[in-house]
Amino acid sequence: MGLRLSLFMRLRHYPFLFRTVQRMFDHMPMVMSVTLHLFVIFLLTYDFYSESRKNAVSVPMFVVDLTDVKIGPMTNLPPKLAENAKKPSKSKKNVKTSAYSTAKGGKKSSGSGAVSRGGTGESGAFAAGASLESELNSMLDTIGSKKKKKAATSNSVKATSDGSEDGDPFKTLLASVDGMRSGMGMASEDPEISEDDRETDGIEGGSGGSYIRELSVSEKDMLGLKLRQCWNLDPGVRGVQNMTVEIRAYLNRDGTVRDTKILNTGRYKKDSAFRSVAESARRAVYICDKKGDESPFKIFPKYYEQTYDNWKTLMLRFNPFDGGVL
Amino acid sequence: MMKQVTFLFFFVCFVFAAPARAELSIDITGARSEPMAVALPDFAGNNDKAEELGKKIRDIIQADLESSGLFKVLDSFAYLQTFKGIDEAPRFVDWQAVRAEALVQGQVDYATPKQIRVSFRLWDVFSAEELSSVALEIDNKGWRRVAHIIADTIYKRITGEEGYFDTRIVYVAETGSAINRIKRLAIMDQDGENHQFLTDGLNLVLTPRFSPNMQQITYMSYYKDTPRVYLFDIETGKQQIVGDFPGMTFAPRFSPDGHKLIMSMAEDGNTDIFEMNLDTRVVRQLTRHPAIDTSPSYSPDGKKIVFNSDRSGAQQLYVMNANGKNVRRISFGSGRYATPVWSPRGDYIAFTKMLGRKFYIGVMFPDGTGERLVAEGYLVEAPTWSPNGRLLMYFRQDPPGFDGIPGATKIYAVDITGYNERRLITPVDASDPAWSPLLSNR
Repeated sequence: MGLRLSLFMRLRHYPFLFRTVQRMFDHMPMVMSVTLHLFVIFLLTYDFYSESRKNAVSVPMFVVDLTDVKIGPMTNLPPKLAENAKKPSKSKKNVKTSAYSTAKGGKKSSGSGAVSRGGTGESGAFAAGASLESELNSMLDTIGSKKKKKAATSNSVKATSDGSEDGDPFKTLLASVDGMRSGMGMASEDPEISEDDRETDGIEGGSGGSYIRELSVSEKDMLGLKLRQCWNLDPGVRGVQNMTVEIRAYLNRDGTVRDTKILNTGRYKKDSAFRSVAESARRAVYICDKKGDESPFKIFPKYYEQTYDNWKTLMLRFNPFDGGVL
Repeated sequence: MMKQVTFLFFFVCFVFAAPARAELSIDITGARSEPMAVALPDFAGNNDKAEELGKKIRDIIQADLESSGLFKVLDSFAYLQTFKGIDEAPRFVDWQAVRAEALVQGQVDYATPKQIRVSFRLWDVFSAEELSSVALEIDNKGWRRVAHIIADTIYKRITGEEGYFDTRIVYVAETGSAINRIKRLAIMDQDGENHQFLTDGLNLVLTPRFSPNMQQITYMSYYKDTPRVYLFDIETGKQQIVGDFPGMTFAPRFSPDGHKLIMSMAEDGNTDIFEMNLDTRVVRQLTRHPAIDTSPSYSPDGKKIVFNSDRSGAQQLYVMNANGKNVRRISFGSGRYATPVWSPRGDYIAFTKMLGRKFYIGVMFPDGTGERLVAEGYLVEAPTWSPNGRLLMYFRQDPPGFDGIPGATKIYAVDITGYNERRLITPVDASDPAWSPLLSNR
């Protein structure tokens, strides 16, 4: 104990420290291994941490004002809503894009708004940052109490749709001012956001970007079943019960097969039994392809022509059996 | 140090390099299983004689491939292309149109009046890929073997396993009445051709087995009314008795390297397993147990022996090390188990099972799991493996008629999947078949 305590204090112990470090480096592989493991653990933890943060953010904590939602070229809204959305908004007076109320701003506005109701608005307006914002919001509340609906919209702090919802106090201030003006019945010029900025693929103001239809589970099953019909396999090959062949198929835009590639190259070269199974699987892809209009790959140009990038390469996993013995 | 840092860097890159976008993946579980469609057009030839021989060779290849149950040769009337030579490129679209999955293209040439040259190419019709191409030169008397070798090559390239067409079968040919039965050794090609008798039939012979080098056959025969193990040389026709044992010896089998013989010996009512080195003639006792231990068979690596014993009260299968240590029981099913044979492929043990009033031929993994029965009958017995471990051959006896005369015995072969059972045509009744190793691998 005494030695350990004095290790870093007394000069005469320093050679001992050096020797220890030197010995550590003698066991370099061990040290490297430990370092590596710790590093990996750290990175994984970090990864999970950031992942969990991401998940937390994706939980919707803002209000979507559907009256002002702009519909892009693709939508999953019911047609009636979409039609309404296409009509130009009747009153310019309405708050334009009061889409988000940030967690911070929203809470503050409801909480401190109740506390400082009836306080002097003028003096509070000159305070800085979040307090200023809350003051403005409380002011807004008092003004907009006549029209309830408008109050609800102005309660939420305006933010731009490019995701800068939190942080910038100046923007939140501007938003509050805008809300205040609309609350007082003044026309808003809405200078910040042009129409172009707001054009996205999907619903603006919602959490999703574009909505792309993907292959459903039943369609995947159907594809698997059809390929199974094309796959002629000799079930007596040695070790067939634990073989899985992975084949990447490259498709053309019209759903025909341009090329195939057997991915398990190592085993393919070494194991002749595996090679025969892999070749039969590859043959299955071609046999299905040569069925013309009956080809299972025709589903892609038929229903998913827009999303060629999603299906131009397919990963086909061929399993001879469900893990059983023949 | 630098190296390690670089390694660390790349390692981290690999670990965290997430794929840019998840690829659309589809799982295909299970497959249909039917014979593969092969197109086998007539072989080209440099003269009429060669073309005629080409037809014969083609027919043998067709018979071989179809007998395996894994191939179906398409009717040649449907073919849209005829080949004038081996170097003519196939029009794959035409072959796809007749639904051929593989195409065999061949040519026969007479190099000299006695020497033939047979060449062939195997194509994958759908991927338009040449899978194999071979040219063989041989004396024209060997055309039958050439055909078998080509069939083996096709089989091997497509199934990934050795073929078995260029092989022979030795069996016990039975003639005469039920009381005065004459049993002789006979040998033939696996398709029944080139049949000949090896012994004269004065003494009863049983359980013939091939040596791995194809030169010898070991079997049990009666000599002065005592069963003894013999060796028979195929080339010279010479017989010799193996060892000088006090009791009767039976159930012989060669070790995979051909240098040892393993057999049972019964003395004073107790049967144990013995091993004899054929080079030094040294005999070693492997089991010491008051029960009957018999029908030993080596694993293909020669490290283990499977045998049959009634030490538990009924006939069951046991596995032990080649030195006789570490005996453990592997069969636990109902019924009795006999005549175990280890597959040359190593993955299965074939056996005869007696359950109820029936006999079965079955296979199980060497640890005793995965038991599967592939044939059944009034009497099915003596399984022997094809050299690639894919087929089992055995004999089947019909039940006796109303007059009490035993039924005829016939040899059958069946795929280990239990499909494609077929009979081997023999000139007389046949039992106890033994399959030779692949001749071309000798």
